[in-house]
Amino acid sequence: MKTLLTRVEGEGSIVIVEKNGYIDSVVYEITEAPRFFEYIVLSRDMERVVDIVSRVCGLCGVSYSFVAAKAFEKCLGVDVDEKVDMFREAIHLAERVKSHVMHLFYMNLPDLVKTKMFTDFLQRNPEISKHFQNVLLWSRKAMYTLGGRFHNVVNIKIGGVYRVPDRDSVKKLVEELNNVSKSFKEFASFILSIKPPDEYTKRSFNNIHLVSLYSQNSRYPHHNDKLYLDKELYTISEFFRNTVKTGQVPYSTALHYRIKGVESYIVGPLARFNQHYNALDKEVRAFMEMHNWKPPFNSVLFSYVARIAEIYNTLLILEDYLDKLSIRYKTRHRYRYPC
Amino acid sequence: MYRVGIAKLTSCSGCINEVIYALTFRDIVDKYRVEYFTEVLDVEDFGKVDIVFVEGSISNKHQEEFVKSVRAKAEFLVAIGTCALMGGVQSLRSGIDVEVVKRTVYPEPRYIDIYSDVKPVTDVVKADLVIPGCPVNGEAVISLLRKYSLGGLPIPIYESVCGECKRKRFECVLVAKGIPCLGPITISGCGAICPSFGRGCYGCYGIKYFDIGKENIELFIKHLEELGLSREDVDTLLKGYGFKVYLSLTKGEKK
Repeated sequence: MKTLLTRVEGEGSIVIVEKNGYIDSVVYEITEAPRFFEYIVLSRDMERVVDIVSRVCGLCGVSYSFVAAKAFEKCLGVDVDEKVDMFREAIHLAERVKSHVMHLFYMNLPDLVKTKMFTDFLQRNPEISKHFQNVLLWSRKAMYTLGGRFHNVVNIKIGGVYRVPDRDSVKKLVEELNNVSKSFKEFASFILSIKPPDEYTKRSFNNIHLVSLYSQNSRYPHHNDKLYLDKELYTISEFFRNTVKTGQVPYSTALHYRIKGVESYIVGPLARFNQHYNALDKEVRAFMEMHNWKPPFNSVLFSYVARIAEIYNTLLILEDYLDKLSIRYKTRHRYRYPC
Repeated sequence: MYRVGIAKLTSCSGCINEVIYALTFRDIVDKYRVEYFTEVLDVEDFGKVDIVFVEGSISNKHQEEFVKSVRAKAEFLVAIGTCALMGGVQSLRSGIDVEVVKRTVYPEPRYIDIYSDVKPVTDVVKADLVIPGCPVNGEAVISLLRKYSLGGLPIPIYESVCGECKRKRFECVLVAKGIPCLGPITISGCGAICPSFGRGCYGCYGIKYFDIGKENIELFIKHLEELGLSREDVDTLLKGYGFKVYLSLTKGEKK
């Protein structure tokens, strides 16, 4: 028996092989066609690479462009003005809001409220949907203002950005944030109040490793060149060169990343949430605990809870960043290659 | 209610995310019922639909057969995005020995079954409408869905990004600032985003194939080279975002 995996990012299926009335094997098959980014960026102009890699993912392309720009800056010894870098972080954070809120509404929520698709929920519960739409539309506006468009932003380059937006449009984003945060809390309260299906708690990963970014100055991490493997600190290059080994299976196009080639680990919101809960703003922790949610979570099915905490925390950081940017930013950096 | 399907091939999901965005509007939800869309709907089989959006390019036989079966079951097929129309950035591997490409990424390349070249959807099936872009402009998708439900279709506009710059009264980055810009040979529809950010258009909506010949493109490339772009860099942009046209130009075929 073969069944498609739906309401997830990427393409795959589960194949169950039955022999004499018993399950013989279960195969987790990733069928997504490879796009060979590791190959297609070779020998390209560096600025092109920053734009090309944003096409790795339509939901979170800024992560790839931002990290590509930072990697080139590190290799070339390019210093970036602190405020310009904060502006790029703001684009990345706006994208985190967009990506997480889309996951919540389109992929997670239908499972929790037992509908076939988000459109059923839109018709059944327009009021809560409206709160979601307020957050989505604000994140869309923020992405357009800061990055040029909703996906594949055009405003990240090696050494900085192409243009900073005018002060008034940033101010407007800040002014709207108050209402957006209110909407988000309504939407989040609704989701956090739903009792998750029993199977969520049955699937646990007690022995799996957690890998998430290093938390600088006790801040909740969103970009860094170091990471934690459980409690051990590694540089990213050390981790991927020496600690992780990749492998393949014949039935899947996925590359399997394993610690020392054998041990599994998880990354992303749930790993960050479990590892850096105390670095979340106390307002966020109070909100999560008010709804009886506290780490650690031992099932990836609870990643929606981590996404909610991350959106809330991100909105608070964005309020601070955009406020600073709307008051006194100016471009001082000029991009140059050192040699 | 119109039945709508959304099919994804080799791509990043950026274009179908714009379709999802369009489906978040109440007036559209009231007129369309989604029948197939694995990213957001628990359904496995592609049944008959009135309109289907296809994102991505074709990398293997399975995808080619799938898109042919989708075509057979859809009244109206819309190819969305640069991948479906031109091949997309994954086309940058086309023309290279596929075994070399596979070995760069995979320790066991023999497990990976892909075509040596990327195929745009429009090379394999007939599209009733194409919406270019990387990603497509969400407003164009919303406009199509609203017009289709009223029995109409968008009016095709054959112009380059320059037209959008002029209407928005942007100072020409190419002429006034000497910044290499692919706007004159790129299909319009983005709203001239890159020039509005003070950078040259890098052609992500694809090469404007309807009224530019090989000679014009060669002259334009020469000008870009004079402004400092290397030929390799120009080729990256033309191949990465306009592969289908690039291929016909480099092979000297008539478009």
